[in-house]
Amino acid sequence: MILKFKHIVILAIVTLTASCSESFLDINPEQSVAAESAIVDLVTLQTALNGAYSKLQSNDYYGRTMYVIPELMADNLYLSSRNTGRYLEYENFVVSERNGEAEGLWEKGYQVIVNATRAIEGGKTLQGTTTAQQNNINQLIGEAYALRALAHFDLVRMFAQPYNFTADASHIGVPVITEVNIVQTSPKRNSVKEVYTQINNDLTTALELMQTQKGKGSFSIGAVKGLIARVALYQDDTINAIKYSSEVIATGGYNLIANKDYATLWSTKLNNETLFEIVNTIADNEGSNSLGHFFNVTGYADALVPTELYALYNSQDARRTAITAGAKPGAEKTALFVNKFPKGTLSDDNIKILRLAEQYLIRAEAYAKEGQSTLAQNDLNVITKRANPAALNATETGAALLNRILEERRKELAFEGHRLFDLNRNKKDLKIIQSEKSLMVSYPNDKFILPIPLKEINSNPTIKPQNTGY
Amino acid sequence: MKKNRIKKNSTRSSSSSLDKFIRIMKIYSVLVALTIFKISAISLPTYGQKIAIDYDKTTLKEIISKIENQSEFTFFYNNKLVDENTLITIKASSNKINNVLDKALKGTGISYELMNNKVILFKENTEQRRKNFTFAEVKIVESSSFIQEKIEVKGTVVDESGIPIVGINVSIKNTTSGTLTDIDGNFSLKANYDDIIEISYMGLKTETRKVTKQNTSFKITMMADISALNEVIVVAYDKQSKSSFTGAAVSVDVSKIQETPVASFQESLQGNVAGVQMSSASGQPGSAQSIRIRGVGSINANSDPLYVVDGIPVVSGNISTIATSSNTIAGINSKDIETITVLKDASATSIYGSRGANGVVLITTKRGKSGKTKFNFNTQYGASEMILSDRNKLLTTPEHLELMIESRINIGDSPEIAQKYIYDQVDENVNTNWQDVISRTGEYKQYGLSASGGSDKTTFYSSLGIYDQQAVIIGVDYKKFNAKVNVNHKATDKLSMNFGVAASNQVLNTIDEAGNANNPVRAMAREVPWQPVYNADGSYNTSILLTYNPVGIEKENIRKSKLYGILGNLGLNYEFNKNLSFDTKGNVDFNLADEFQYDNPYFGEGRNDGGRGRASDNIVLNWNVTNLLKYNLDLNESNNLKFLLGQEAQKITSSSVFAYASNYGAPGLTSLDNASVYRDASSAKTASSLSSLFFNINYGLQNKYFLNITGRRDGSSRFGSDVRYANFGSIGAGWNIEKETFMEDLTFVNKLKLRSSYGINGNQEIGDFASRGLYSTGDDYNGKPGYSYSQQSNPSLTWEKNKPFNVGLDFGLFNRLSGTFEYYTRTTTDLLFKVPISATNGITSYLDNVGEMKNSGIELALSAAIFDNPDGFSWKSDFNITTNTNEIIKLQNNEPIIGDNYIREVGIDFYTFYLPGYAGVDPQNGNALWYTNETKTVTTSDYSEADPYKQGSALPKFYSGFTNSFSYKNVSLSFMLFLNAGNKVYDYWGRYVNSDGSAKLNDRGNLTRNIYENRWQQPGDVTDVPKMVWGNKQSGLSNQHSTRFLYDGTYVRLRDITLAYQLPTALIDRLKLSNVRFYLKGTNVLTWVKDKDLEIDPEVGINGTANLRIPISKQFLMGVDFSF
Repeated sequence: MILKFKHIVILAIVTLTASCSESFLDINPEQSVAAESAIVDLVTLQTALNGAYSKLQSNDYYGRTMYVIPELMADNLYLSSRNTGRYLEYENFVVSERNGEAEGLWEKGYQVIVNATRAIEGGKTLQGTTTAQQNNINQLIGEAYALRALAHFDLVRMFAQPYNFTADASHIGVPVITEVNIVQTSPKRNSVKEVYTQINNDLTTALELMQTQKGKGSFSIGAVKGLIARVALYQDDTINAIKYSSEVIATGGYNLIANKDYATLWSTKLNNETLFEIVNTIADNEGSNSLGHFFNVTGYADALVPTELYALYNSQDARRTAITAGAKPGAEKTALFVNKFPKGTLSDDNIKILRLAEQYLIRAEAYAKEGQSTLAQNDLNVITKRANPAALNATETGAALLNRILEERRKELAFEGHRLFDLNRNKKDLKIIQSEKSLMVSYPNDKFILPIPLKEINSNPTIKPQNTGY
Repeated sequence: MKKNRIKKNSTRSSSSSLDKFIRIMKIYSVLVALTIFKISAISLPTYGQKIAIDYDKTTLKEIISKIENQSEFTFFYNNKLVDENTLITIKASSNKINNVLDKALKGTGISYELMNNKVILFKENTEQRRKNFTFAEVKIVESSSFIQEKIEVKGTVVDESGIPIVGINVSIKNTTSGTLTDIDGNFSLKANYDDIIEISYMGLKTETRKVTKQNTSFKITMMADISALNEVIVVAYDKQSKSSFTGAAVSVDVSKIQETPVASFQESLQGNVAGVQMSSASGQPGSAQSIRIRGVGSINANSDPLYVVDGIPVVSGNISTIATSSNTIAGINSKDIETITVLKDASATSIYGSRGANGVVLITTKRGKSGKTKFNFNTQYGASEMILSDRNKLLTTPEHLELMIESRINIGDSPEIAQKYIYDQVDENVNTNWQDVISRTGEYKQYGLSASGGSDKTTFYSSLGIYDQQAVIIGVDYKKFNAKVNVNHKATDKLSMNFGVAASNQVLNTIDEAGNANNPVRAMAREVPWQPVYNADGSYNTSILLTYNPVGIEKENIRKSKLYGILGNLGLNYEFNKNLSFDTKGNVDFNLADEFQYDNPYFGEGRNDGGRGRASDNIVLNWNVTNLLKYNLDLNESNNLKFLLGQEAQKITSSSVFAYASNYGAPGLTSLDNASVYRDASSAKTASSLSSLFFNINYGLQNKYFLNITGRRDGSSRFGSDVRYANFGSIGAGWNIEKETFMEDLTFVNKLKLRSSYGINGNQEIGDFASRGLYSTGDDYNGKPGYSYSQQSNPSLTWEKNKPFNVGLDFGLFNRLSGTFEYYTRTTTDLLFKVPISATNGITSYLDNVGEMKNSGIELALSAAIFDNPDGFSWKSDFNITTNTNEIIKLQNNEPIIGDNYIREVGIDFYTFYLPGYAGVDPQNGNALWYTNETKTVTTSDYSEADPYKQGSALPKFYSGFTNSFSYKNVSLSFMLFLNAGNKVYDYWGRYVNSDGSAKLNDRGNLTRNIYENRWQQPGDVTDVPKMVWGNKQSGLSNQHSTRFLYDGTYVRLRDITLAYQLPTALIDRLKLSNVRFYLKGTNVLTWVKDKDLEIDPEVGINGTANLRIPISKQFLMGVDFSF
């Protein structure tokens, strides 16, 4: 018995010690992939790129903030007197460097940039076995370049003064990130000019690589050209603005949704007016943090439409249907709600980033700035007549024409995240409409742009200086 | 030590005599619980063993010692009756003990009697006994000469579980008369009326009884004397006599814990153990508790101690995903706990290596004792209420509206217009007290039944428990069911085994916390009184709180978490010989959280998508194998060595499944099958493993000097292969000063021991794959899978190293006062720290070993028997106090880290608040003022001009527990006061309830009574509450963190008060019971708060930040204990 037991003991020790060999301690994650093996083929490149697109869905980016702030900190939206407190600092024009919404946007923007950069660098190491496969790889790398450009563009227009703020755009911008870092980086801020140069380089590279003319929920040649046109307009580069918007309009294969079908512009996903939109599915949306929830009367209905804007639309104007009247429960007895997100609290509306109507307005504005009033009027008429076939043709010229185009932009692109930038880059004063009053602020103004988040300054002091005024 | 006690001969208790001492305890069925391990070390008496002695004029004491060394026999005698210094000359060699003894004692006047393997010595002339002694008929009669006119006093002595104890000394106080109990625990002796008989035995509390005309027959229950000098404590992988232990460890008085109406025993550690900080963050029953042993040891890794149950490191903390918090440790039935030991310093913890840095809590569960099967039944019933001072009562509608009207007037309205404006929008006839609506009187019930007993070979303990508690907030409750079996079996003389199974089921209904709209505590603070709970038609008023009507949410939604825990273990012990043994232990610790959440389709979270259902299962399986080889080497009487060599392997795997669907069809049917849209389904797995070797050497010299050396080598899967293994260890020394000859004259010193230790242990609680550069899945897009960069790699990421140093002094004076004083430091190096990095990296932090932190402080624990009269009034007092100073020594580039209103900076403590300073109110215009910076020289009325600066710490300077127990005859009263001093408490959501009119009539911000009573109203008013302004943008905004909401967290709490009545022995005997006890108990009955402005309960958790959690409540209950 004793002998037997001794054997058992020895056996037990041997087996247990054996089980504690090196392999016992080698455990690999099952929900994550080692960063170095994240992009190894076409499929994983697509997966990594999807991750970057997915960041655009965030309520800190196009999922809400990128749409709301430029409208709220201007005259297209105000917060209900009964609100959830979101974006309150913007309406009150008292944004602080601790503001969480600015911080979220900053972080999401760079997440897109870093994931796109990693996709670019990972993609470059791949070698397609067939031409078709290589084309697919190139298309995906091109999309990554376009995503990186978009995020840089959004960050620079949110966190830096407009391109024309100084004559040579030498004023301070945001850090440009184009490399994969093994260890952490603490970059300084590039000048606005440098940022725009990188944006244009990335977009040009994207065009060279891309194969897909029209995309569905992802970047394509048409969408990249549309973005180049917009970026050019922001740089007062009317030549390129005209060139690229013209290409989109003429050969992109997109069409404006007809007046009678105006509602489908918002209700139909990936319709033919879209150059690029963020896809939200029922399983993959921001839920109560979505735009639909933010605007819809059954959701938060935090942000309402000022009557001043509503009054700008002719009663025949189809675009007026993108605003609905009603009562805000427990607050405004009559209120106007944004209806560009008809799925409302279901939250799976796609978020449009580039659409054809904007290209007409870009070209109109560029022509007007070039002094080519007729061409500008023609483009403007396309948009006004789509909205209201009975609308009169534009006859303004010069400054009046430019103002008319800006007003038409306000009406056409309302609640889509353009208003603040349109005024700012055209050096216009701002009227911030609040729930009971409004605030006039003249250009230039330190607070037309967001502060670099305090968290960033604390973790990366080389990013200083903070934007003036914060 | 008590005089006049039958004392085992001892050559100042060498290690071998310690073994014998323990064996004796076994024979007498005493202290079985404290010797579980040693039970198995017993060999049967070796009667055939040869004893050879040859001495000339040697003391009896020494001869006895020699015989003990050569045989299994142990000697007992009363050293007042038997002169141990009697000189004896003997030469004998025999395998029969009686031959040897006959020779040895011849002519000494000392006689002996054999009983099992014990030898009891008597003074011959006082002895009348039968000559032909047999084991079956043990009968020891009184040893004193007796006088005929005395009356006969009889009695029975039993242990705590009702088992008779043999060989207990019974004597008449202040005389030499005495006797021993027989094998049935009976005694009888002659005494006079008014004599006090004293029943005593080493390791047990001495009992006394007065002989009266009414009382000549006694039943005496002996309790273990935990303050006994030879106390044995549970230590890592073993048990050890306290006198030889070099570490800092506290054995918790379990009796203080078992009747406390809390789900987990952890909550009872508050105030009862020096060096242990416990602060409940939530009144949610069954929530995970934060315990910090000797301060906060880590920044980003876990700072919780390791929990070891019956030698098994178990899964602790929260394993749920839907419940706000759950606690696997709460699955332990506190009634099953036999001992709790808190290990604090290097000597005590470093054998746990990479898991020992934050201290270790060792728990052993009850075991059966052979003998009559004993049953115990206990039950409690009670009620609880929210602690709410009058100054914090909510405003009524008229009060609130008065402020709103004033706020309109302050923006220029005339009083008439202001009134009209407000009354137009508000139905002032509604006056809802949301505190009454959302809080309630909680009910508490608890039942426990246990049975234990067994034979010589097999013993068992089994128990069942039911625990049922409602919180003071609607919708929150907790139920727990426990079942437990422990069986010990002796297979052969050398092989013993034990196995145990504990099963638990916890059912929690929980709520959200913090700013979540689902959180009723938030609603209680935010909702305005003019909103009704129900509409006129009886439906829920869902025009409030974004439709999240708290009553509706509670009634219509489900948020249920069921936790299942099974802890099964099997242990084998093989005794090769009396010095060498082998232990193997294997266990499975299974934890399952099965949770379900349903949000109704009509209001609240599910309102927009037809109702939502979520189901989540999470399984955490922990298996552990330990092998121990123990060897005792006694070089000679004064050089004793104990070796322990161990091997351990642990693997924790967890896997979870989650499903989410929406759009419910049939009302009332809540399972996911009834939902039409499938939203999400996922599963996840993770694992970690640990493989270790360790040793311990304990050396004792003359039982005075002790040296302890520990080493451990751990390998962990959590670290990169370059740094996978690490070594830990400690060295400790102890000196029993009272045993020195120079102390002999200082008879008032019962105990004086100096000990010290230093060592290194580690912390590996960083998450399973923290060292890897990772892409994480889940960033799907357009229906296709996506992943994104989520973690920067750090292949050199390694353990935090914790280096504790300890000096302790244990003392006992005048047999009345005992205590421990400790000074400790612990320095954590290679702090695992989430270094914040620029967001331009695509992530905002990565984990690295940077920084150093130091905790230091003193601990003092005192225990005094102020009055000690078992027949009359007794008063026992326990006091402990702990100070802790936390200091950050080094950080990444020594740059301060700012976040969540704290600043982490070199030279200051970890929880230092960093907020703009609130400067009160401008008496001229009522505007809020803040200091522009920490010089506090300039104030500003523009919040954005106010820079944050250091504002004091959330960590208390000291905390203290003070327990007093009074007893008079069968009645006892005890109370415990807990003091927490010198910390700051931040009300994170205070900004919303101090909205100064900024929220207008919204229910997103409310107004407090403090505002109502103290606001600025007219120029010249000196106050720190700003004026009310409709739509205020100057103060009262939700982003305005400042010291306005920072309070002094000093408080004193009457944590526990208990009044108990024990049925008199005579009555219990008549009822054939062994014990009946009734008691009334109150917890958190009174709280004194230093800061009179504090708007919340001061107990908010370790980090000092209140987060709209369920408040701590006061409880009253009554309970009954039956044993039979």
